[in-house]
Amino acid sequence: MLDLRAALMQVPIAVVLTRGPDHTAELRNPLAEEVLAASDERSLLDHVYSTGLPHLQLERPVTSKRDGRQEERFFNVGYEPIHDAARMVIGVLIYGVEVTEQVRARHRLSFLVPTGPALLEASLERSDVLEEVARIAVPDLGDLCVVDLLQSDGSLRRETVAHRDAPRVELEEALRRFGPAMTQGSEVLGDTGAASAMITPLRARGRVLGTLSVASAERDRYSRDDLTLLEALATRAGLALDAAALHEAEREARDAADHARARSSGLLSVTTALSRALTASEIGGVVIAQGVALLGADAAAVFLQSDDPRELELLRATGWPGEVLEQYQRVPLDGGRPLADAVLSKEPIWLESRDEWALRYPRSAPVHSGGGYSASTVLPLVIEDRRLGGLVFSFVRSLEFSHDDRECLLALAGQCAQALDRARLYEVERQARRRAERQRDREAFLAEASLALDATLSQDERLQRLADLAVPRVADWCAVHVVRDSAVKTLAVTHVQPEKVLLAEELVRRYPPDLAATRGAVNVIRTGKPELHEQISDATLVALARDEEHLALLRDLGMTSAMVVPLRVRDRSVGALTLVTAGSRERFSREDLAFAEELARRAALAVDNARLYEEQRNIARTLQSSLLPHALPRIPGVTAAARYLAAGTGNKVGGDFYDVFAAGDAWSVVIADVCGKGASAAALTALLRYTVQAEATHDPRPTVVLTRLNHALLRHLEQMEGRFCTALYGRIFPVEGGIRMTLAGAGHPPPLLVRRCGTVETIPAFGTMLGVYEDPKLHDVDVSLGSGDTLVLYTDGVTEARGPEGFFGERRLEAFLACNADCPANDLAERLAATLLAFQEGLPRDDIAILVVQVAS
Amino acid sequence: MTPLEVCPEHVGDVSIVTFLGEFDLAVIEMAERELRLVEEREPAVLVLDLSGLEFLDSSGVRVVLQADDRARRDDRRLAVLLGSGIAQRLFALLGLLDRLELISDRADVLPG
Repeated sequence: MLDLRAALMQVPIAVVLTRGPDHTAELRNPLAEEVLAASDERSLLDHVYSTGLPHLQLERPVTSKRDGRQEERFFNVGYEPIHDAARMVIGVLIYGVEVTEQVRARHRLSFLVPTGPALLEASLERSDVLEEVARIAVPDLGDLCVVDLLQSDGSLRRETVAHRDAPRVELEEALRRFGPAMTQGSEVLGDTGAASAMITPLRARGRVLGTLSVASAERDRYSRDDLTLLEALATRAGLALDAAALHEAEREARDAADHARARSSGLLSVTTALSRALTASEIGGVVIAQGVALLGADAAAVFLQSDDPRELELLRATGWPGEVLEQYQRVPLDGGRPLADAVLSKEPIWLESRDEWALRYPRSAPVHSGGGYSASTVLPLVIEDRRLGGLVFSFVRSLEFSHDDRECLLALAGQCAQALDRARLYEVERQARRRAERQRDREAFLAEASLALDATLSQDERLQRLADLAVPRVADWCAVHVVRDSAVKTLAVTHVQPEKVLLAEELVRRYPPDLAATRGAVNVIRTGKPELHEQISDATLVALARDEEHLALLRDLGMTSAMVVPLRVRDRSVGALTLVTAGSRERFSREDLAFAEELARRAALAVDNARLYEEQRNIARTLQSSLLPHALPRIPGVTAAARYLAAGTGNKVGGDFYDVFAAGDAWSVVIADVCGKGASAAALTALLRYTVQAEATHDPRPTVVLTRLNHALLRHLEQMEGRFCTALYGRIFPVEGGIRMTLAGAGHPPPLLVRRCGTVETIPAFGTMLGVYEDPKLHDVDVSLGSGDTLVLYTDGVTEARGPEGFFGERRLEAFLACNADCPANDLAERLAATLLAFQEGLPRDDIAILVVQVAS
Repeated sequence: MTPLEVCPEHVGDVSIVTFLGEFDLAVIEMAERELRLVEEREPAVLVLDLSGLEFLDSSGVRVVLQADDRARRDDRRLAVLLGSGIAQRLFALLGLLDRLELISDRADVLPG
């Protein structure tokens, strides 16, 4: 027979049997000894015993020692009344069935069911996920939770540490040495205060992301179930972290795309803005403004290669303190400065912090950091391997120039360089066009000047005209100095502002040219070498001034640039031309000097021509006057007047001549025209004059005088060169109430007799011209003049005078005389001469001689 | 001003030089040169046609007289056609109408 008692003692169920109202334990098996404390259930036992109703207590927690350590266990504990045959309660059966595993499983479930979605849904931010993991793990899974995540380089990086108490760094350090395992009271943790720990990999999609560790100060804290729980948490956390990583990657990609889009649209707007910028300065402004906006730079500057290949000059800048800018107006292209290095090497320089500055450029670092800047970049402006300059951006913050930043900056520099090169080409083209236009203007000016200078003018008039022409087209003021009688004289001064002319004249009057001067007009005349003073500084004026007053006058003229060129003819300086610019006008260049020299060369030639012409005319005048009577003799009852107009330029002796002289008991008048002009004509005229005077004394009869004159001319046939001569000769005999005249003509225009009443008669004194034929046909004509009658003798220059209306002609002459019949002789001669001049617009084409003989009224 | 035009024509051994325009000091060298070229052909008759001149002065007359002089020396015949204009008036004034052979029409000298 089975021993029931022994069996009860062995079952894995806690069993207690009590008897009587005192609940005396009849049986208590070992498990019951371990987990059921008899005293605690007294009231329950009373209740069951007295009522006879069973009672079940579910999942009673019991702390027991198992394997030497305290453990929480759960039991379903039942209380069953025990009846006797009379259905009377005589005792209570207490049994406890262990449900620890079930409870734990349910706990796990209840923990993880909300944990998983909570982790996944809480946030897509990695930091939130990690925080949540720590929050779940501490304190439920331990005192400390650590998450280490695997980095792209294979290392682990500690992301989260959560501790129930203060941070326990040592503990983390110790944990870091674990593999994924459970350690129950290892010596590794001995120093850290952790008695047990678990570590498990964080995984997602088959990839290990890192580790999740928990630790507890409690020894033997963890069971396999806890590890399972931790793994479950790790799985959820891994998925959440993966989602967060994906999200982060996506966000980064989106940010990068947004950034790239912003940059490229920024660069596009740079391109647009640059396409509108034409000058280097405008381009500099655009690049600086756009670059600063695009990159968030705090200061920027554009430098360009200056005319001197060994230095750069500042084009535009922003954000720099004034004193720094002043210092960096010009930057020598030598090593040891980031700007020079970048430009010379044609490679960008990136300086991300003050330390880097100090390390790489100790010399310029203080200036840079003094301005409050940390990071900087210097980008060379290069096009087709040509260095144009450099671009500087500086940042107050330290900065890591990302690949994108660098690409963006290099693109900006590239655009800037292209725009600058385009501007350079544009400028070159503009200058070429301006030069061409200037050249054209100059040639036009020279042509105009040559024409103007060749007009019939005296030397001085020509030089004055030169000065008038030069202002304002070539210069703002102009002075002409000439050599006269071994002295230098200021001949002409012209200024674009009339009031300055007075000032300039005042200057010349008070401070005449200094013959010892080492520069200026006198020096140029002496050396024959031109001077170009591209820029007249105040220092120049100070050096030039002879005293304070002189300096003040010089300053008042406001000269900015000047050139002095010699007026030279046949290696002889005849003067100097000074051209000066004032105010805003462009300064004179070498090209201008060459132009001025050409102008001076032409002017000098024109002036010299004028001089030669004047000399020639003077000689002609002298000679002509020697051939004409200085004064007409007094004839009783008669007034005589004469006019002689030299043809055109008057530089050649004409062949016309007249004379009035006393011969015997009467007076002779003669008017003649020798064919041709010049010296040989003059010689013949002289011969004619003296022959007529000589012959008139022998036999004053007109035909005789003219015949003898013909013979005389024929004797000089060689000299005549086929020339001939026309003449009119007459004798004046005073008679009662007037005069009687005998006249003979030899191919000469017949004289006109103007009666006092205004009638005009042609005196038929016709005959053969002289100097060709041995036997000219000549005859005497007698004519009487009464009171107020006038006889007008003239040469063909009168009737052949030509104007816009054609020839003056006999008819106009007769009409003129008819209208002026009552005019006194001298007035008549004067009016006729003036009329003829006016008719020919001041330029007689042929010589004109007029001789008027009038009987006094 | 109409510049002088000198137009030589040759019909058989007759050369006719027609002067048109203005014949004055300014053009005598040119006129002289042209005339000499014609004279080199040694025409039996040289006619100087001055009837179409708009202007003539003593310089032009001198050219004609010198040509006449050369013709006489070379025993050539020279005739002048004055027309009724300025040449006629000037030659008349100078008393030259009976000094030169004057013709009133080219037909006077042309053969046939």
